[in-house]
Amino acid sequence: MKHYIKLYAVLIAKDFRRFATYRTNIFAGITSALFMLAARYALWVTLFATGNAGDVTLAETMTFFVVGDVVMILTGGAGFTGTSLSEVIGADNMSGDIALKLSRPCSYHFQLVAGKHAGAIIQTLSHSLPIFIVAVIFIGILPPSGAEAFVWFVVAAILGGVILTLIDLILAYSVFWLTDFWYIAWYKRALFMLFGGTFLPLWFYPDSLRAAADVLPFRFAMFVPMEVYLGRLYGREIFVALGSAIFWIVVLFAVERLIWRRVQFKLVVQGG
Amino acid sequence: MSQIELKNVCKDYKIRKRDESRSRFSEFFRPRYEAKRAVDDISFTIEPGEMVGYIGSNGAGKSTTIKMLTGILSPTTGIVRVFDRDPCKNRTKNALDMGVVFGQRTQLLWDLPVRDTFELFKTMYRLSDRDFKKQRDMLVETLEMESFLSQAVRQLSLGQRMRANLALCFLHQPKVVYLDEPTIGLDVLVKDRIRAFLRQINREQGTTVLLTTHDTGDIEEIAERLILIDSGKLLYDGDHTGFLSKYRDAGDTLEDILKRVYAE
Repeated sequence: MKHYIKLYAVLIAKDFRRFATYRTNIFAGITSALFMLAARYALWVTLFATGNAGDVTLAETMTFFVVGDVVMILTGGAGFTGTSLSEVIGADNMSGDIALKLSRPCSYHFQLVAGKHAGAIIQTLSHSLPIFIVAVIFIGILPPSGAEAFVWFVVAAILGGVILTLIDLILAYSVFWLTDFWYIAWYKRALFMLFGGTFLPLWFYPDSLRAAADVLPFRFAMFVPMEVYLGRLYGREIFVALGSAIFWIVVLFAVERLIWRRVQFKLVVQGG
Repeated sequence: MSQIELKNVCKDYKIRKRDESRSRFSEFFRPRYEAKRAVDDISFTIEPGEMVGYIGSNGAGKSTTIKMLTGILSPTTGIVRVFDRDPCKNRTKNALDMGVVFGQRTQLLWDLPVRDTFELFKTMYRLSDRDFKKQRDMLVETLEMESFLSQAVRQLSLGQRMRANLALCFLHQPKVVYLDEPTIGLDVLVKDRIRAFLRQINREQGTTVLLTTHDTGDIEEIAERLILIDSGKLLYDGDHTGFLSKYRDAGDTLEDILKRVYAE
């Protein structure tokens, strides 16, 4: 156990150093993130000026995106260049380097998780944290609706991160059948945009689409934690949401293990 | 007990069968597959400290055998045992006592200096500071790596990179190493250095070496024992001199022999 903690720390430190060798990337990442924030803010100011926002305020919406970004990047990073495990696994599979990673004295998934967390830290520093600071200073971001809400928000974000990771893994395994992989990340992003409310908060959705989003697991990654944060979910509603998050974790974990067994069969037995 | 044991091992790959007479439409929706036998009923054992050259033409099944020994592939039929364990089921455990170099690939962290990968492997293979330092210093000296240890891997020449790969493979003092074409694309000086290094480490640390190669110099200078396979079948297993007396006609070089054997 102690050995694995040490190895985990070293793997993350090495990824961090690799990223730090590309200084222009860091600069480009921060500036493009700030441009995105400005564009998003301008868009929502305009939309709210039409007066059709219902019970939601502009401050709530901007908080949703800015804090939600912090959550999604901390829980959803995949490697220092990307946010999808399909990009990592796909590259390993296509180059054949997966053979090297499988011949090491720690499991492939351990290496994936360490790389994922390194990516999360790197992208938080180069993307979501600068946005957060600028937004707090220039736009104004709402604090959590209460201390208790903040605790449940953290719990919801962690459960949501597990769900996000499991969905990411399940989609990523398709690289072993498809070989080409770049569009899987797009596919995943589209699913979370449409059913997870990462592009447009679900509270703006028409009823039928909202109903579909509510029975699917994608909303747990960002929308549910942010509703807890903003106090739009409270009391018993929080426990119902967290309960169904746990239900989805159990289901998705079973699916992930099942598909991984197929992948191992394909890799190890068929040599695909 | 032998260190490595293969008993009647076969390995089939499933490959896509493309039929000219079928339409592209049915090829897409109802692909057909056929089995291709990459390794066909191979048996041999290797004892600790042996230096074995595993030779055969391209596509003969050499890399497939090595992947089965590392536990990345499982045999279709037959038994593979390494350290008296099933390598597939004990992959991460066996990895601690095993080193592998795939000639065309690298374990090195591309953007960082060579020494960074060394440090990563020190932790990954659970080496003590003392063992690590001793083995690293020996490897750096023997493979003459001092001059480029602090350079980023992407700036290294192929020869430097291959020496670094070899050093990594031996860093944890493995009992067995599998080298899949370790001298591919290297100049004569680097080849010489690598061969001398392999002989030395085999002598001093008793490391078992199984290497595949197409380089007759590698075979002549390193391999005491030769295993020859062709189209997945074992043709010869024995010592070097036995190989020559079996296949050599008057005046043949090793290259002449291989040309004839591969062509048959």
